Amino acid sequence: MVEDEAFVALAIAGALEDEGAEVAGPAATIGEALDLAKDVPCDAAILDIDLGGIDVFPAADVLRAKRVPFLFHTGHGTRRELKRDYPGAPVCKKPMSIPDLVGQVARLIEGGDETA
Amino acid sequence: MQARAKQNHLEQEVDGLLHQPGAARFLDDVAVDGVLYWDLEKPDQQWVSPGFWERLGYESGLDLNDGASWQRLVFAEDHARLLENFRQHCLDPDTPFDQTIRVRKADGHVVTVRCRGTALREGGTPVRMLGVQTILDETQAPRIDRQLSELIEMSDDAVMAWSFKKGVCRWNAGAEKLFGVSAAQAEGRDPGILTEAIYPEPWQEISRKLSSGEQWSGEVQRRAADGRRICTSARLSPVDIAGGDILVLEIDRDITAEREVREKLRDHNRELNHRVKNLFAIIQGLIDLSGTDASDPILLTRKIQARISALAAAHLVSIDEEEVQSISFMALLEAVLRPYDEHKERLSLVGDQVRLPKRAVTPAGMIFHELATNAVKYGAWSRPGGSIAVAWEEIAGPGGQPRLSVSWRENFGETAGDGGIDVEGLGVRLIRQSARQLGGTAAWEWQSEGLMVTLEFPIGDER
Repeated sequence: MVEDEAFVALAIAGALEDEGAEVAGPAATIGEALDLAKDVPCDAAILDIDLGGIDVFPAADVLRAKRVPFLFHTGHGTRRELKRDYPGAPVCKKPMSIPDLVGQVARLIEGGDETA
Repeated sequence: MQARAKQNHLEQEVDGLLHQPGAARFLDDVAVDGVLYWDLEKPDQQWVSPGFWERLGYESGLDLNDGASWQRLVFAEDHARLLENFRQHCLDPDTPFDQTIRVRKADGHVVTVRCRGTALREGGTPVRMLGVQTILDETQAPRIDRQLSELIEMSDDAVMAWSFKKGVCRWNAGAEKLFGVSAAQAEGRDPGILTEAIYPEPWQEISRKLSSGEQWSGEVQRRAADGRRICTSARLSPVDIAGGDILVLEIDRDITAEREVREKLRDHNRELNHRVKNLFAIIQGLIDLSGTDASDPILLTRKIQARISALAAAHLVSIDEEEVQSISFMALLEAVLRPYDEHKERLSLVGDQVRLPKRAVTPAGMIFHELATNAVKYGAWSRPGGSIAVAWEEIAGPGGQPRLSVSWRENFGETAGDGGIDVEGLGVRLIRQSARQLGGTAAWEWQSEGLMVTLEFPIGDER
């Protein structure tokens, strides 16, 4: 899980844990995000895009290479590059209710590799 | 072309026509130097009364009644305008056909001729044009021309005339100034290529419009001779379309500054929009989290209120200094912590003049809010005689990047000892996560007088 806003990060992490998930992170910087993506095996990832002004994409690329499905959770408007560069990744726009977001993660995991 | 004129069928028709009351009255009404009669069904055929050409110094009896001679002797742009007016007049008889044209005399001088006429219609369809020419004061037109030229020269806007085939033929001082290119350098060049113009639509489309006699206007990105990017509001008018070439009058107004302001505003809007959405997400998270360990709705409400107030206080500090990309650390602490110690007895703030990047406002604000609420609940501010000292200094991190080192030192007063914080509680998790958001660390230790929290994080603009 990558999210730089503490409240958002802890709330989502808590909700995922309530559903029985084990949460790696939350990573708040691109450095932490890259470490997580490289080193921690996981079934799915939630990626906030803007980490204090730096884009999360290098971590997304690592996940894609490892065929780990992920979704973007962002407050930015739809960026055209997103659809182009990561066609399989759902884009969840902030503010999304936390249960809805958790539902999206569940779908990612059910879809397995096909969505990434 | 210089053959002797024969009486053609149109002249014969004019002879007949002059006996008609309407036509005669029209000619009577105007003092004329020439009469034009034009077959609209065969537009290359026209008849101009011979006296007109004689008055312009042409040998009497020359046949100048073909379209080519007319085009050679009349200024091309005036001719184009005349044709346009004529088209309008044919569509709508109430639109007068009346304009001045510049005509070359035999001796090379130019006279201005007022050209008026009326389309004669059969069943509503214009079949003939009856026109008259009046030679105007020969001295007047050049003076007006000269004054117009001076006006164009003095204009701050870039004004230029250029043709598709021959390039620039006029380039005023405004154009020299705006593009940094002298008239001599511009002469014969294509102004679009010269200024590296990027049009908002394909040039073929603009070219098609101009070729069909339409004006085009829009915002054009260009590059001045010194390499500076400029933006102009451009208007291109085809003043003459002849011989496969188009003469264009172009006026460019510099809107670079205006556009920059507009773009900045758009960026601000986008950023604001992002911040608002983010804020909604934060509030959502905040409510969700605050609810996890609360059973009493009144306490829960207070907790949420306090957290939102702290967020708002931190945010206000950042919008008070909208024009800068950083905010004063002292101002942030004052905004978040002062409400807990209005009499300045139980809180001391001591440190360097340090500024934080704006993105640090929310996490830093939340850290100090959580520390303060913890102090009220379990720490120094929950104990008699307790006080808190916050001290900070800027230090050099790895690679010389500036970092901020902050110590939050609680004095438990009469009840010194450990405790004073719920290390497993939400507050501590929030502080840790916020410190990570800042790219830094938070650590807890207990000294003889009470709890001490040390924070460290980078405050450079780049992470």
